Amino acid sequence: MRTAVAKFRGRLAAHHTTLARGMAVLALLVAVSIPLIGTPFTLGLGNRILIYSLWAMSLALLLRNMHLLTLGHAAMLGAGAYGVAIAQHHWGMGFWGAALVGLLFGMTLSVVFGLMIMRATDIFFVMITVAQGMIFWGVIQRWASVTGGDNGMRNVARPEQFSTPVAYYWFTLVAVTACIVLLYRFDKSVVGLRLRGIGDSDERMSVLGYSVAFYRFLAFNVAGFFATIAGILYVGYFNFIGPTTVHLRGSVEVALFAIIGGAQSFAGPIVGAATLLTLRPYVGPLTDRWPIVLGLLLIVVVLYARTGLVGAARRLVFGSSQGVPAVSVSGDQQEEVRQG
Amino acid sequence: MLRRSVIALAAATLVVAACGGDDTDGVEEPQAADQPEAEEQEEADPDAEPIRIGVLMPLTGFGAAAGEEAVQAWELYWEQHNYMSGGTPIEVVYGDTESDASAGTAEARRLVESENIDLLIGPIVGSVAGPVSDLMSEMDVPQIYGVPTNDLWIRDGVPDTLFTIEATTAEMAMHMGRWAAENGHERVATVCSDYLTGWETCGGFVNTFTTYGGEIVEQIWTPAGGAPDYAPVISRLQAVEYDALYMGTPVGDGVLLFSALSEFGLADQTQILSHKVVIDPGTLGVYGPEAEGILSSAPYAEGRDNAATQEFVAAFEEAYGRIPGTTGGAKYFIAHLVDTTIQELGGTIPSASEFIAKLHDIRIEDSVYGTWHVDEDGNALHDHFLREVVDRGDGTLWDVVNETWSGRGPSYVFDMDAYLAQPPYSQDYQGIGWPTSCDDFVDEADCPADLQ
Repeated sequence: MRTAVAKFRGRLAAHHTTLARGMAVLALLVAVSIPLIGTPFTLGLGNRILIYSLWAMSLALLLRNMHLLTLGHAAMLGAGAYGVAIAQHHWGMGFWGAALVGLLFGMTLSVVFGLMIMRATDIFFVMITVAQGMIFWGVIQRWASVTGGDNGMRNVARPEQFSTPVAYYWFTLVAVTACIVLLYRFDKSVVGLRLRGIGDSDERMSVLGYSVAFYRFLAFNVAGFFATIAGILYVGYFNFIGPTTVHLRGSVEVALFAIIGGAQSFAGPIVGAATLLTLRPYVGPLTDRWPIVLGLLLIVVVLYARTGLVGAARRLVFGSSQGVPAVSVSGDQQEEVRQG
Repeated sequence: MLRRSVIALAAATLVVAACGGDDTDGVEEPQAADQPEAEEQEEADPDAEPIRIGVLMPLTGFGAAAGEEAVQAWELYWEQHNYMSGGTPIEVVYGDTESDASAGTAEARRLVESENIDLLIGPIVGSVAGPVSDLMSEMDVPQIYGVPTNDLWIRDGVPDTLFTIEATTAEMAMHMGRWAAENGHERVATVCSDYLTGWETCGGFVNTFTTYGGEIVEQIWTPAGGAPDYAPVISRLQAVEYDALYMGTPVGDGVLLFSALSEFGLADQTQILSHKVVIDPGTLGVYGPEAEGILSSAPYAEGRDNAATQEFVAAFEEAYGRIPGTTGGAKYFIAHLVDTTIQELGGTIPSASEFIAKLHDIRIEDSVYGTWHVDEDGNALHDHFLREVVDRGDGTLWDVVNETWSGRGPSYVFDMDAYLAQPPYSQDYQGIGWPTSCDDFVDEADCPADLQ
């Protein structure tokens, strides 16, 4: 029986790339079908899943490749969102011009923050990003004349061409899909390889002549770029941005999406965001202790599925959380190897 | 292995605790024993579709304490009325904003699209209320908001589907400021939280206190969310002379500040003046007996000697073992208001516009909020009470009423256009030096002598 299962897993593993592509196509089909057959509620849920997935994937880029956990990522999303809102409210810009402002604001913040963390690692990296995020939140909350303070900024307009909920969903789907493709290409590029090399051993990469600080700075800004895009999409969807979104709590939430989904896999953050955002409206009304449920889920993942939901699924299907088949070698085969 | 099993067992126990809900979507029902008798049983109309009311509150996050009290007070009212209004059954569904704007908006959307509510009550946190109100307007669902709003809402405008039942934070403070100036206080120091609510809690007081002849000798701003050390605040207070101290530090900030004042012996050396957002039965228990004598302004006082208030307080205390504060009072009043309005509409909510329009016609002569009605400008006007913290006689502190003021609207006695022409209250602008003439007043009778 075990041998049969191992053989079956082996066959699946041999086609794991095809399977992965198939899952991606399936996910895209589901996303495309939502506005066609879903309800207004599922349309909104789908839109939020797309936005939060992109946000979580940008964080996972750092976590997966360089083993760096940032707890200030809400600031990046907030920079994009507030940039759009401020440009519209105070300078009278339309969405597209405001989006450019949001992008510039987000990237400027990303560069400034990136310069602070490029030589930091481990707990120091985490603490600096916490401080960065809280500084941003503090400025947003206090600078009421510009940001609305605690009230936030309401009535942020969507692009005229995509102003209805369905049209905005399509817009978000196309934008997020394009970003995911870019992230994938970056991940598979030689730069992505170098990032993983630094994540595995920064000393060795340094000896080989690569500037570890430069690549940390680069990765931080690439992550910041995609988080800023997520922020622009976010404020267009909600038509609002407020200080609670950019608080530390927001940074922890997006980290949970990535970790629970599986930050080590490319699709893990998408799975994490989709799972948690879908569970929330159905589990939440059963208990007024949703954060406890969320915390318990994290404990279970950390203890029993460290590679997240995607890793757990891979282990189930392939016998390995990395997608590479765990080959079961019989005693005769071992003897053959020894005899050469 | 054993450690993992223990952790798993602990986790399972917590799951059971977390899922310990009931028919009311996880919110505890009032304990049924000794509930006041339900009012006369309404005859149910067999053909009436139930009215579904969504209650959107922070059940988790930093606003959870207020959210829980709000839900309890709301439920108490409907338990007393058998969940009936105008012959129509009332069904209530709950949503948790998690004290967060995006979560709150998503929950609001779920309540409308999945739960098909006819009316939304809430939320509480201001930064959540804004986007939720825009969403309700887009979906044409009436919404009642029962927390003091800030002036930015007055300046920016709110959707037509939103109805606020209370005065603004600034107006409540304005009543206190004028009273202080006209009742012997000449030199006041203020300590207020350095964020929007703190600015308005202070600004309203300072604006009217200085208008009517008082002098602000020191203004101290503390970080919202509490300062790590209040010794610098105490040092600054000890360096000035004042005959009253105004506290504009909401909730937890107020507790921390008062603890510091007590520790340094300042709490009983001067008259402390304050505001609804600072003084609440929930925090008075932490303040301790030194809090006796604190004066504050609010639309609700749990020790107020009137039947409506005392019946509510007694029923709430019976059900939940504690005195209801301003949040509970507000939600109980909202339930009363909703019930009255639905009855006036013949047991229905025909549409958002009709429901909101009918709210404007309602006048309540006696309630936990005193008298209440809506003026021609759409502002909810209610009594404001000068409250004093006293011992109830059993060691419990609560607020009794010393004076009652009539509501005047968001700009208090000032002309609205002139008021809105001034900057919003902030750390940099507290209304000192304005108004400059009697033209800035609605009624010349309110204009102080030195401006005439």
